[in-house]
Amino acid sequence: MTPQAVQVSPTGIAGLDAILRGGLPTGRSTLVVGGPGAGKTVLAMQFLVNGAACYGEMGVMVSFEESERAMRTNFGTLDWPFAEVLGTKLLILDGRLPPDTVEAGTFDLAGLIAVLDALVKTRGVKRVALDGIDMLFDYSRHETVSRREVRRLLNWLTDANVTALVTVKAAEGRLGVQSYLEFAEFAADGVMHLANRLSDQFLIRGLHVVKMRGASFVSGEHPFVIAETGLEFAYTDQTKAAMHVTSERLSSGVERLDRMLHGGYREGTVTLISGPPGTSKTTLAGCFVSAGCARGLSALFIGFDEPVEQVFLDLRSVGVQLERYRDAGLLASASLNAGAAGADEHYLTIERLVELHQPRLLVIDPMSAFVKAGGRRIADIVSERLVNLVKARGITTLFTAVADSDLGELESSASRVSTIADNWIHVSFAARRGERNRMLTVVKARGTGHSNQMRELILSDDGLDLKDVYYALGEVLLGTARVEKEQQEANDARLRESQNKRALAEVDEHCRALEAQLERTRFELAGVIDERRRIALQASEVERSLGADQAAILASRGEDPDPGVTANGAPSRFPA
Amino acid sequence: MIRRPERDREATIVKLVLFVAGESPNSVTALANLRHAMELGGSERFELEVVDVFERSDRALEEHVLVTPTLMRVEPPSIRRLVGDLSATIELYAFLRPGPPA
Repeated sequence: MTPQAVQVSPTGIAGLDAILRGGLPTGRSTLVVGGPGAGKTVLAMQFLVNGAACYGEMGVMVSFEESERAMRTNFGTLDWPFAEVLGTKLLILDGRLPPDTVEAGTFDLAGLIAVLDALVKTRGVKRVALDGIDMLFDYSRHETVSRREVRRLLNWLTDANVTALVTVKAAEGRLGVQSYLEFAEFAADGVMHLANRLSDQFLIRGLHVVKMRGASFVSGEHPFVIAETGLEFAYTDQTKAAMHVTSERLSSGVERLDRMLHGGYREGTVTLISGPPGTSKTTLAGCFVSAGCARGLSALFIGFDEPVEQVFLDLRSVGVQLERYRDAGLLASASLNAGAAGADEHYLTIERLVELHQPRLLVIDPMSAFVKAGGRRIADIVSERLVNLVKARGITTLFTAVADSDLGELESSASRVSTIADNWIHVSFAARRGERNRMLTVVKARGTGHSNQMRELILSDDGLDLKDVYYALGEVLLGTARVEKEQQEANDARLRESQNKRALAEVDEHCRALEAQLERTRFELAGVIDERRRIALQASEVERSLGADQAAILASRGEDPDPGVTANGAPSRFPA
Repeated sequence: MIRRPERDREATIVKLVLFVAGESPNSVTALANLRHAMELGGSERFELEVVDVFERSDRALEEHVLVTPTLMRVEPPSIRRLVGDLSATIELYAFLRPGPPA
C-alpha cells in the first residue's frame, strides 16, 4: 500500500465520512464551531460512541459545559450504543470547576492533562472530545491565563497523538469563534462549522468543512439532521455519475447460469454470491471475469485473506485461466488483508484501486471478510457506500459473501448487501446419501425474469456447469442420486422407444401382409371369375351343340332332357 | 503569636491536601504561600499532604482535580476548594481558619 499523507479515523457518521474522505485526521485535533443547539456536542459524542462501538477505540469526553449526569440523560435516550460503551470504552469527565471553587491566584489545567495523559497511557484512549473549551474562559478573570491553558490543552492533544474533536461556541452573528479564541482556529488541524438557521419555517442545519490539514474533503455546506441515531447527513458519494444500469447483459461465464438469468448479469448491476466455504463462489467470480475479459472488458479482482496468485492458481485447476488477461493488461488484481485495517480504510483502498484501474468489471472476494471489521453498523454503511461507488461508475460488480448453509444465516456483515444488491445467487451444500453436492439458486435478479429452479453446480477440470435437479418424493436429487435418476430416465426412454418402434413395425408388417394377401385374393378372384366366364362360355357352347345334337337325337328317339344340368349348363354354386 | 490551650489545639487540627503539578511555577508558588500561611497560623495545627497529579492521576480523577494547584480541606471538612497559586492571601487565610464546616 502506498503510504497516505494523513491517516483518518472514521466518525462512523456515513455522510460525514464521505465528506471528510474517510474521517477525521488520526492523531490530530479538529475544531467544531457552532452556535447554541447547532449539534456540536452530539457530533462530538457520536464520534466517541461510534469509535468505541464500531472501531474499538476508547474515548474520553471532557465536558466543560454540562455535568456528567446531564450528558448521561441527554444521550442515554438516543438510539445508539451509548449505554453499552459508557464506563468501559467511553468515559465522561466533568471538566467544570466544582461550584465551591474559589480562585486564589493563577492556575493551570495540569490536573486535567495529567488525568487524560494517564488514561491514554494506561487505558489506551484513542479519541478525545473537549466539549465547550470556550467555557474555560469563565474559569478565570484573566484572559491570558485561559488562552494559555487552551493552548496547553491543544498542544497536549497533539503530543498525545489522540484524534480529537474540540467544540467551541461560535461568536454571535458570525461564523467564526470569539476573537480571543481565534488562535485556536489557527492551531487546530481541522475546522468545521455547524450552522443552524430558520428557513421557510424549517430549521436547516448544515456542516461546512473550513480546513482539514493534509486531507481532502468535499467543500460546501452539507445539510444534516439530528435524528434518533445522532447526526445524519444526506450526502452520499454518488455525485460523479448517474446510475449506469443498461439493458446490456454480461455473461456470467456459465452458459446455463446465463440462461437462468435471461442472458447474464445486467451491465452496471451488483451481484451477491453467497454460500458456505467451498461452494465455488470464487470460481463463479472467476468465470465472470474470464467471460468479461474475453470480450475485451477491463476487470479488477480484489481478494481478501488469500493471495490472488493462489486464487488464480486454484481457478486454473477448474479450467478458468485468468493469468493471460492479467498479462494482457486487461485484468488488475489486489490482495488485501481483512484484519489489517478497518472496514472504512479498506473501502478507501478499494475506492483508490477503482479510481486507478477504472474497471468495467469488479470482483471482491469475499467482501464479507472486510466489512465485518467494525461491527454490523459499519458493515452496513460500508456496504452501501461500496454499492454506491460501483453503481455511480457503472461497474458490473460481483461480491462474494461467506454464509452458513441456509439463506437465513447469511453473515450479518453481508446482509445489507443482499438487500441492496440487484442480483443474489446463493450456493449451498446439500448432503444426501453420504454426498455433499453444490446447489445453486437465483434468489433474486432485479429487472430480470429468472428461473426459480434450483440447479446442481458441477465443478470439473473444464469449469463449472449447472445441471437440472430432480424432485422425487419431495426431495431434490443431487450428485449420484441425480446421475442415477438421469440414467434411469434415459434407459426408460430408450426402452419405451424401442418398444414403440417394435410395436409399430409389427403393425405395419401386419398391414403390409394383409394388403399383400388382399392383393393376392383379388388376383385369385379375378382368375376365378375369368375361369367361371370361360367355363360358362364353354358350357353354353357345349350345351348349344349338345342341345342341337340331343334335340336331333331326342327328336329322333323321342326321350326327356337330364335334370342335373341347368338349362344354360353353369354349375349351381355360381349363380348366374 | 497567641498560644492556645493544648486541648483546643487537638480539637482544631486542620488537615489539608494540596494538588500540585510537579515543579510548575504555579505549584511551587502555591506550596510556598501555603507553608508561609501555616507557619503564621501555627505549623503544629496543620497536617499537609502534597499530591503531584502527574504521579497520582488516580487521586486527581477521584477528587475531580482538573486544575492545579488545588487546595482542599479534609479536616474540618469543607466542600470549598481553592484553586490558584494562593497568592490571594485573604481567601487563603479564610480557608485555613478552623471553624464549622463551610
